Parts: sequence; structure tokens; C-alpha cells
Amino acid sequence: MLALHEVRKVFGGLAAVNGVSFAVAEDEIKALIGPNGAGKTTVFNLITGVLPLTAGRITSGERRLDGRPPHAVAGCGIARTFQNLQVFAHMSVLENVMVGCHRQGRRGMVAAALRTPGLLAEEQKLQAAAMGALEFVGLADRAPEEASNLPFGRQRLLELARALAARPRLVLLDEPAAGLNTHETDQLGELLRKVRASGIALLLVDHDMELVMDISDEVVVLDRGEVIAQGPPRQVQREARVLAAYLGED
Amino acid sequence: MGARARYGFVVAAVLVAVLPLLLSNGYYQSVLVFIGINAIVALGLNLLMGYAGQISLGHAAFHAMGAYASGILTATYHVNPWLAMACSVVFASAVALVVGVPTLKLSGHYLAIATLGVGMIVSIVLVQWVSLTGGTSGLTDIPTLSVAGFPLNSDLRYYYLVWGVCLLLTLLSINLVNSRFGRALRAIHVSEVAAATCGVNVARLKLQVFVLSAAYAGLAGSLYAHYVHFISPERRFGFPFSIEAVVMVVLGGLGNIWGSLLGSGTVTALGEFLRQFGDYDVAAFGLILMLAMIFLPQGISGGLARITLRRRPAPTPAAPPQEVAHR
Repeated sequence: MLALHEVRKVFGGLAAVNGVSFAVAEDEIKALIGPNGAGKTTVFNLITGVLPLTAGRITSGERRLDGRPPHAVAGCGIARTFQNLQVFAHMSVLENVMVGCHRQGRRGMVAAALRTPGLLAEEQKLQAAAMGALEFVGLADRAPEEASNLPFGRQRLLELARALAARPRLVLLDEPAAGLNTHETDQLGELLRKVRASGIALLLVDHDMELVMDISDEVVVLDRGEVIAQGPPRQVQREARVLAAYLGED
Repeated sequence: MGARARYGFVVAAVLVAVLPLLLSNGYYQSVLVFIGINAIVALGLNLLMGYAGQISLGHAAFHAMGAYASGILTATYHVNPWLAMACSVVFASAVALVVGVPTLKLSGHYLAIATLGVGMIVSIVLVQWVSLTGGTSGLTDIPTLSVAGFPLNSDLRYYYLVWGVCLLLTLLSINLVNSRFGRALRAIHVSEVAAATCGVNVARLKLQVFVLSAAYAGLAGSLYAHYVHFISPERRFGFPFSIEAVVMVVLGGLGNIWGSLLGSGTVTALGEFLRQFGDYDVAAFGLILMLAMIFLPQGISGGLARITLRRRPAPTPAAPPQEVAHR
């Protein structure tokens, strides 16, 4: 589904990501954890084409993902959410999710200006798809509201709906539980299982260990840009290097 | 378009139809023609600034390209004026494409600098390439437009042409921003990264809007040339008008389509009114703009929206300019 091969990213002489390799299988929930500054968000930015790689390869099946611009990576079935929310504030909740459906539309500028019958049919199709995604995350009743009016936790769900609307095969979730209370985090866990059950793989970064250990099939532990452990959650948890990275022991 | 927008459009169309009949004075009618021409420039620039979030500081150059392409083709080469108008739009768009391809790949305000440069180059070409542009003495004898043998040779007739075009472009612009294309535009204005990861080709979209906005400016230039019949390297084709166009968009309300019409009306009429103060007109213009920006930070349309919202229970504080056009 997704594989990183010896991926390296150097910022001005400093290797933020240094030879990272791991793979995400289909229908898998994989977590990427590690202390602050371990390079987790950088890995996300490398996968999605937001940042160019210094060395290494990222592949999805037969396809090379590295070197493609972000919109092309999205076209390969990879969607994401953001640690610092990137909701389109002045647009309605529905419109936000319809941007997620962008690649399911084909009609361009001229058809839009003239509101051709083909365009109107397409708009209806996109709207239905977006409503479907909103229903999935439980935000359908907020569809006409302006996105910035939603409370923080709901905006996280909105980003998830927007990512799902793209009909991805893999969603990258950057700290989806950050800022959520215990109840909301539990609901999120349920929702993420539901997403996986619908055949979408997940790669998530989060600091909420309870959530991570609970829902992940496998965990990859990053420290200072390198993978220090990899495997099922319970096993990784016991590894000495992981404890050292988190607790600062020698 | 929603029911409310359709209603607004009908009101605007009736207003446009009746207004010149109330102002039978030829001078007022000609000011209205210039307002319409400027509004077309502002509409295009608003799509670029208010939706794509890019600034052009050289829209006068695309306006000049439209005017001069029309002028040269008709006065010098006797091409059919309508054909010349189409050519002038294509020409302005093509130049925008050449400028936009390298600059819009980069994020940031490279476009502003590049268009500033285009403005300077065009200003110099208009003066120096005497054999083509007539230099400082300009181009004369640009023919009148006519529709099926009916010449648009009075202020009133030309008014209906210009405002017909202007309302049509208003309608097309409203359609555009309320489509998949427009949603993507509004999205890149907020977060290019988020829009790109949704699958929006950001560079291509910005380029399309930039070329479209240049086409609007070029069309307006052509309409100007066939109205005044004489063009020269004046204020209108240089940096001052580029800034005036930006002011129209900002004063009218960024990201509000109708705001462009209001902005053009205000700035154009104000310019005419302030002419009587001679050299002080620029200072007075600046002062009025400063006051407007202090008291109407979201432009005239944003201010009007705030007044209407205040009457409702639980108003949204600091309504952003974008939301008005889409309700």
C-alpha cells in the first residue's frame, strides 16, 4: 500500500529524517510515535509531497510517490489531516468536504462560469459524496454552518471527513486526538476502526498512548529521525530503547 | 445561484437599465460608462486577489494591451472591431500566461513583483515604439463599434453595451466562485497545503485565474479604446491605474463579486469629483481611502453586510468578506 525505503531528509546539515523504512499494509492501522522533534510530521510532509526528499524512495504498489507534487500524491489515493487544523474557515462545512471531493470532478472554469447542465449534475454528485462523508463522521447536521463556527473537536472530525471524501486508500492522521477530551478520544477511536473496516488504511501520529496502543496493529517508533523499534504495540512498549527515548534513560 | 442572489441580480439589472435615463446629462452618462469599464477590470482582479489570494500590481498593462491591440488592429490595419476585440482579449491573456507560468509555480508574492515589471515594460513600450503605438501622440481614429449596422455612437448606447458586458461578467464570476473551481480557489486562499493535499493543482488554478483576470482587463481596455477613439500613454495605462484597480477591489470588498462594482463606482466617481481640487486631488483621494480602510476594513460590501447582520439576533462578529458573496 505504502512503503518508505531508506528515506532521508536533511534541513541545513541536520538530518530530520535519517534512513527511515517502513510499510503500511492494506487495511492496517499503523502508528508512528516518538518524542517531540523525532521527525514524525516531517515524514508526513515527505509522503504527501509537501517537502522533497533528500534521499530514498517512497512507493505505493508499483508507483513512485516521491518527486510528485502534493496534488498528484493525493491522486494516488493518499489523504491527510493536519496537526494544526487547516480547515477552510470561511467556507461552509459542506463546502470544505466538497473540496475533498475535488478530484472526482472534471468540469473546468468555462463550464463553471456557464453553469452547464453537465456541471450542475457534477455538483450534485460531489454534494452527495460530501454529505456521505459528513454522515460517516457524524457532522451531517452541521453541513450548512460556517466551518470556523464548529468547536475544535468537531473541526478535527471535519478534516477527517474532508480526507475521506477524497475516497483514499490511505489516510495520514497527524495527531487526531490532540485537544480532544477522553470521551471525544474514545469516539475517535471507534470512528477510526470504522474507517479501517471500510477498507482504508491509516497511518497516525499521536501522543495519546492509550489511543495508539488500543487501535494500532503495528507501531513504528521514531527517535531523532531514525526508526528505533517496530512491531505490535505490546511488544514495542517493552523495548528498552523505546523506554529510553521516552524517559531519557541511558 | 440561490434565490437571494438571483433577486439581487434582477435589482441590479433594473437599476442599470434605468439609471442613465434619470441622468440625461452626457457627462454623467460618460462617467457611468467609465465606471462600467473599470468594474470589468475590478471583477477580474477581485477573482485573483479576493479568491486566489494573489496580487497583481500591473493590471493597467493588460488593460493597455487590450486597448492598444484593438486600437492598432482597427485604426492601422482596419480589422473588424469585434474581431479586434477578440484578438485583444487573446493577446492580454497570452501575455499573462507567459508571465504567470514561471511565477505562479512559486508560493509567495512573486506575481506582484513580476506584474509590476510588466507594467513598467508596457509603459516604456507604449512611449518608445512610435511606429506601432504612435508614441506620446497616441493612436487616433479608433472606429466606433456597431451591432448589425447600428452604430453605438452615443454615450447612452455605449453605456448599455458596457454595462451589458459588465453584468454578464458579474453573473459568470458569481457562477465561477460557487463551483468546484471556485471552492478550490477559496481553499487555496486559506491554505495552499491543505488544498493541494485535497488534490487541487494549486499552481495551475492560480495560473488560470490570473489569465482570466488579464482577459477581463484586456476586454475592458478594448471597450475603452472603442469608446474614446483616441488612446495615448496616459495615467490609465500606467502604474497609477494599476493601483487604482487594486483600491477598487479592496474598497469594494475582497472576495465579494458585487463589491467590485461598488468599488469601481466609488473610486471612479470620487476621481471625477476630486478633479476640481487640481493637484490636491491625490492627497484628498488618499485621505478618503485611509478613512474608508479604518472604518470599513472589509470594504463597502463588508460594511453593508455588517449593518444588515446587526439587525439580526446573534450576529457573527467580524464577518469575513468572503461569506457575503456566497449567501
